[in-house]
Amino acid sequence: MRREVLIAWPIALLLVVSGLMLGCNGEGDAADEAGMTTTYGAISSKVRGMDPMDIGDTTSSGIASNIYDCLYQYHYLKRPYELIPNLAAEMPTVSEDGLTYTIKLRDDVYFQDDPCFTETDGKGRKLVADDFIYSWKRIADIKNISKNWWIFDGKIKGFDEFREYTKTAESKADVDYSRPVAGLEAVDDTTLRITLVKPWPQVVYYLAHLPSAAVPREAVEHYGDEFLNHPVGTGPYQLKTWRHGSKIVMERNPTFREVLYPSEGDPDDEAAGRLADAGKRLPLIDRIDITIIEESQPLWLKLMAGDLDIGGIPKDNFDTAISPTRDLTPELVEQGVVLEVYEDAATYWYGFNMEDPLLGNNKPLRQAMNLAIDRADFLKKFMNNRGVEARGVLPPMIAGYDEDIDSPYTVYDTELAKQKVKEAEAEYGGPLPMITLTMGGTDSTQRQTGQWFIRSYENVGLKVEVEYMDWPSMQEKVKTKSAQMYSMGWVADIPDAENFMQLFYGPNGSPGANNMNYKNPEVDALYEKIAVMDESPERVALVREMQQKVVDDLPCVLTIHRVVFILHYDWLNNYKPHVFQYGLAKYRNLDAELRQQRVGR
Amino acid sequence: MSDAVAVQHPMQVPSGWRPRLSAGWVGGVILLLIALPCFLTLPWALERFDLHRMDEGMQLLPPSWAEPMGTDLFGQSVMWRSLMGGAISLGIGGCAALISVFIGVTWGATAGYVGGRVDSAMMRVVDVLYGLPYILLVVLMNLALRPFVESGFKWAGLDESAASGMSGIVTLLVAIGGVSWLTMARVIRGQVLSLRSQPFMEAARAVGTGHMRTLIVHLLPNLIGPIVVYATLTVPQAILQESFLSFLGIGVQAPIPSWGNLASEGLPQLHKMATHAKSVEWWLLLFPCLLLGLTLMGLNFLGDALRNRLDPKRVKT
Repeated sequence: MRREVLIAWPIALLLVVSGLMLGCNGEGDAADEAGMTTTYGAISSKVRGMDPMDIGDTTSSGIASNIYDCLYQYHYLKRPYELIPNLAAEMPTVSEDGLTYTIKLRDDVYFQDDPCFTETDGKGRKLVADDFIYSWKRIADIKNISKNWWIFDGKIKGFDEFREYTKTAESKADVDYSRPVAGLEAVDDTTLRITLVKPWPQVVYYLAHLPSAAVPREAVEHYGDEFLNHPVGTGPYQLKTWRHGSKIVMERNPTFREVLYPSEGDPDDEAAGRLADAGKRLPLIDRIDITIIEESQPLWLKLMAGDLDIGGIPKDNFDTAISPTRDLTPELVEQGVVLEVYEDAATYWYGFNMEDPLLGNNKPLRQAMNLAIDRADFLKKFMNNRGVEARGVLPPMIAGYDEDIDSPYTVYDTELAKQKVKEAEAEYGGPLPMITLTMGGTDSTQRQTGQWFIRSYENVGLKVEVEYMDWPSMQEKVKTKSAQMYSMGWVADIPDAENFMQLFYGPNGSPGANNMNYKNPEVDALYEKIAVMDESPERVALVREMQQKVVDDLPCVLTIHRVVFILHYDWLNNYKPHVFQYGLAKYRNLDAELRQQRVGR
Repeated sequence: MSDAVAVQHPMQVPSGWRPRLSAGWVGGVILLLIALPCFLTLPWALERFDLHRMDEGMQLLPPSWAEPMGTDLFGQSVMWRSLMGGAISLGIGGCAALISVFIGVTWGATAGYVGGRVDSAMMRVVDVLYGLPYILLVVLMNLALRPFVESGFKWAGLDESAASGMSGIVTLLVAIGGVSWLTMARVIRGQVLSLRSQPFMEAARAVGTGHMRTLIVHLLPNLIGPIVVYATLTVPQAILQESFLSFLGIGVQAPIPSWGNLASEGLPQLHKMATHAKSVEWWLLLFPCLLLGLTLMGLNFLGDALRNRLDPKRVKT
C-alpha cells in the first residue's frame, strides 16, 4: 500500500469516527427527547452559575428557578401579584410584635435524585426546615463572598453575629455550620421559626426570592466548588445537560411533589384560555431546551423559523414584527405568532463606582454625564421606543414612583452639560482624564451603544473609552469594584420600593447589591425607616424623599424604564406576562401537534 | 539565460518583452483607484469629520448624490469613513508587511548564512511559532505592548483620546507584523542556502569580505526578487488579518474606522436581508466589503504577476 494511503486512512477514519460521535450525540439527544414534550427557548447571555447563594442576575435566576424552590411564590395568574405558599404549607404565622414568623413546611417535598445522596443510594431525601437554615448560612458565610447577604443583613437575630464569626475562620472548611443562630430555628423537620431584629414587612416577599431557596448540604459537600454547575433542587425540573455557553436542557423532575395548575385567576384569564389546564398536575411540559445565543440576529432567525417557541424582538427586526401602530404585523399573525406587551418593573442605568476618585468626588461631572445623554434618542436608536425615559430610580409600577420628581439633571441639555464639564474641571484641577465605560455584552448593539456614548460625551467635551466583555465578566469586575462606569440596571425582585432603595444603602456596597458603592448617611437613615414600615402614604412620602436625595447625588446615569415585547407561537399555551418571571415554566403547556403541523417539529 | 545569471540579476528584463494587459496590470489599476483616494483624501477626511459627532437628521440615509455611499446610524458619511478606514487598513497592512519583511529577511538571512546549529535553532523557533494560533499571538502582543505605546504617545504630547486611538493602531500593526514574518524567513533562508555555495560567494570569502558586507552587498541584491514577491503577498494577508480582528472587535476600535469594523457594523444588515426586514441599510455592508474585496484582489493579482516576473524558479530560460 502506498505510503500516502497508509498515512491518510487513519486520519480519514478518525474524522469519520469523530463525525459519527458528534452525530451520535445529536441522535442521543433525539432519542432522549422521543415521547417527551419539549419547549425550545433561548437566552442571550451566559449563565454564570446556578447556586442560589450567589445568584444575582435575571438570566441565571430565570433558569435556576425551575430547579430550585422557595418557601413562597407568586400566584401565576392573579394581579396585582399575590404571594401563595410553595414549599411552605401555608402563609406564615406572625407574632403580634411582627418579629417572629413561624412557617410550616409541606411534608411531601423531596430533593431530586442525585449521587450526592450516598446514604440513600442516590435517592433524594426529604426537605427539612434545617435545609433553609443551612442554605441561608451559606449566604451569611463571608468566605463564600455571596452577593446576596444584603437580603438578610441586619434583619435576623444572631445572623449578623454568625457572619462576623465566619470572618474569624481561617478557611471555608473551618466554618462551623452547626453553630446556632438565635433567630433561625428548626422547631422540627417541618417547622421553621424566624426571629427578627426589627420588623421586616417584606420578609415573605424575600422568601419567594430565589437566593432564599433551599439547597441540600450533601450536594454542596459532594460537589464543592462545582456545585454551582451541578444544581440539586426540589423544583419541577432537574438539570439534564449544560454545555456552557451553548445549551441548557432541563427535564421533568420525577420526584416533584403534587402541585396543580391554578383554577382561578383574573377575569380575562378564562377567555384567554389560561384556565383550560386548571387542576392538572405540574409541570405540563416534560423538557426545556434553552440555547445560548449571544448575537440577536441568529436568535431572531431561529424564532422566525419556529425553532424557538418564544423570544424577544431584536432592535434591527422590530419593524418586521411590529407595525407603526404597535401591533403585530399581519405576516407574523399569519404565522401563528402572538405578541405580549407589558411594563417591566425595571430601571436601567449606567452606574458609577462612587469609590472611584474621579467620579465619586465630582458631582458636576456626574451631572454633566447625565445631561449629555439624549434618552429619547437612546430609546429610538437602541430600543425601538420600548420604554420610557427614567427620571428617577423607581419604575412606574412600584409604589413611590414619582412622575413629577425634581430631576433637573436627568434631562438632555448639552449647553448645561458643557457648563458642568467646566465646573468639573475646576473641581478636578485640570482637564478631566479618560473615563472607561464597561459594557456587559459584545454584540453589535452593545458596540453601537458604546459608540453612541462616546459620541454623546465627546459632544460636551468628555473623553470616554468603552471596553466590551461578556455579562458574567462584567459582573465580576463590578463585584470587585474595578469597573469605573458600567451598564447595569435592576429588575424588581419583589413588588416593593425597598427592593430598589436597598441598592443605595451604604452597607450594601460591593459585592452586595449597592454595586455603585454609594454612601449617603441621610439616605441610609431613610432606608432604615422605610425598610421596617408597612405600605402606607407616609412610607410612600419617605420613599420619595429618599429617591430625591439619590437623584440629587446622581450615582449613575439613569436611562430608561423598559416596556417588554415578547413573541411566542400560539402552540405555547398558558403564557401570561409576569414581572417576577421565575420558575414559571411549570405552568406553560404545549400543543405539540399544532407545532408539528406548522414547523414539523 | 541560465538560472544562475537569473538569480544574480533578478531585475534584468528578458528580451522580447512587451507590456500587455494582464491580471497584474488590472490589479495595479484597481489598487491605484482605491488606495490612492484613501491616502490622498486623508487630510480632508481628518479635517472635515469629527469622528465623534452625531449628525441629527442625517441618520441612515441611503446613497444619493450628496452622500454617494449613504450615512450610518450616527449620520456620518459612509464614504468618508470608508476612505479613512481604507487609509487605516492599508496603512496597517503596509506597515505590518514592512515589519514582517524586516524581521523575516533578517531572521532567514542570518539563519541561512550562519548555518549549522544556529540555523537549526532559529528555524525551530519558526516551526514552534507556526504551530501557535496567530490570533492568540496578535491579541497577546497587543495587550502586552499597548500600555507602553500609549504612554509613549502621551509623553510625545498627544491627548489621552488620541494616544489611546493611535496606540491601538500602532500596537496592532506591530503585532500583525510580529507574527507574519515566518514564511518570509523560511523563503529567504532557502534562498540564502542556495546562494551560499555560488562562485561569487566563494570569491567574496576569498578576498576577505566581512560577514555584514557579504550579506548586505552581495546576498541582499540577489534576494530582492523573492522579498518583493512575498512582501506583496504579505500586504493583503496583513490587511485581511487587521480587518478580521477589527471585525471581531479586537482590532481597530470604533469610532476610528477600518474596513473590518465598518463591515462588522454593517453585518446586521445581512441578517435583516435574510429575514426580509422592512428596512435594510445595505450600504453599510456593501461598500466597506466591496472596497476591501477589490483591494485584496488587486494586491493578489499584483503579487502573482510580480512572482511570475521575479521568482527565479519560474523564469524560463
